[in-house]
Amino acid sequence: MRLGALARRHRTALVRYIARYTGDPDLAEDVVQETFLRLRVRPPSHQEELKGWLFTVATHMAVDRMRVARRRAELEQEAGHLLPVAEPPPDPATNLERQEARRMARDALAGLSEKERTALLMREEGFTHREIGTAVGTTTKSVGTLLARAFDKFAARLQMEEAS
Amino acid sequence: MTHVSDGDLVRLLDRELDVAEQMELEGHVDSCEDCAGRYLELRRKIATVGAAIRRGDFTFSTPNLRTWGLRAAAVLVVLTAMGVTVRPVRAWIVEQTRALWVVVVGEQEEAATSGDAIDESGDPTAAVSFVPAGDVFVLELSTRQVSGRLIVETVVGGTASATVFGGSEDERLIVLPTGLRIVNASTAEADYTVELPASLARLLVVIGNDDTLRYEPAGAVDRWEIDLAAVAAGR
Repeated sequence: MRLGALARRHRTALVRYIARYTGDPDLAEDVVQETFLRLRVRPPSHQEELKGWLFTVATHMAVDRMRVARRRAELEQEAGHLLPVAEPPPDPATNLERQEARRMARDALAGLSEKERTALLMREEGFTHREIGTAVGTTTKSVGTLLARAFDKFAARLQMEEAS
Repeated sequence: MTHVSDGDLVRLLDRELDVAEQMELEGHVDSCEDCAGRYLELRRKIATVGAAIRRGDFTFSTPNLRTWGLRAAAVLVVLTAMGVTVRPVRAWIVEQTRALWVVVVGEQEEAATSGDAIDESGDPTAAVSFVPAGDVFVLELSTRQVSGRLIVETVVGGTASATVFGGSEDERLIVLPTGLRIVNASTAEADYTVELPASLARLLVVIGNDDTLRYEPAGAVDRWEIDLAAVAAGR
């Protein structure tokens, strides 16, 4: 089977992962699109590395895009050009409960480091510690520690949110 | 043995240890109240975190191809059934299919049908039959030729046809929404016979860059013969 067809099997999981990572579904679609373009130009050397490659590349792209967006917002603020950010149009299908859950998850994820966030969300997508280690640039053994820290921080933040 | 670290508890839960490590840590957790408590707490925490992440997921509208395919098939079955039994529906389907094809492909090349028995200079090299969409028909030839004739006849009925005789098989007949395009070359020597419904209000013939020829069919027996070589010579 061709690499592109194989990669498309991971598309849904990849979009979900990046949407969780960035909290922005539109950005997730963009990032995944870009990742698939990159796959055409510079594919991984081994087919068995494909899934890990897709998630790692998409993560790096998402981090870059978020940094650029953050920097741009800061510059605009410094320049006094900050425009009020329009709220997305209300989606009648999305109930308040889900919006609240989304906000809480986003806030809790925001409290993690990039590595912790990547590790936590990749684990949710079923990656092994070895694959997570490769993606975040650490040893397989230390992924357990990274994850334990991520769980602690996330749960603490969530508890705090729920209490308030 | 010292207490199991949080990282190793995660590895234990995720089955990321080798068999020996797994057995050793499991043995410790089973016998150590403190580690057993932390193990259960971690398991609960992981479940909470996972649930919180999933609860906040965005919904992406990915098309369910299977569902869409079944729906499309059902619509097709209904339309086909109606097309067979209800004449106006059949005409509508033909018209819509033609329009859709033109939109998708840009222009429409009909499958060749068996050439009508007009005994010209040998076997036809290409032929099409079709139903004109409007009452004004535009007949285009790409260019003038070395020699050859274009014969246009009106016939009773709603079907039109075009046939190429003596061509090099490079000539192509393309049915357009507004008429017919004959793709030919200046070096060609082919003859073309075009039969059109007598009900047409007007026929416009355009050959290469020549002025448009206008004909208004007067009945079922009209016939126009255009010498393509004469046109080439500067009619």
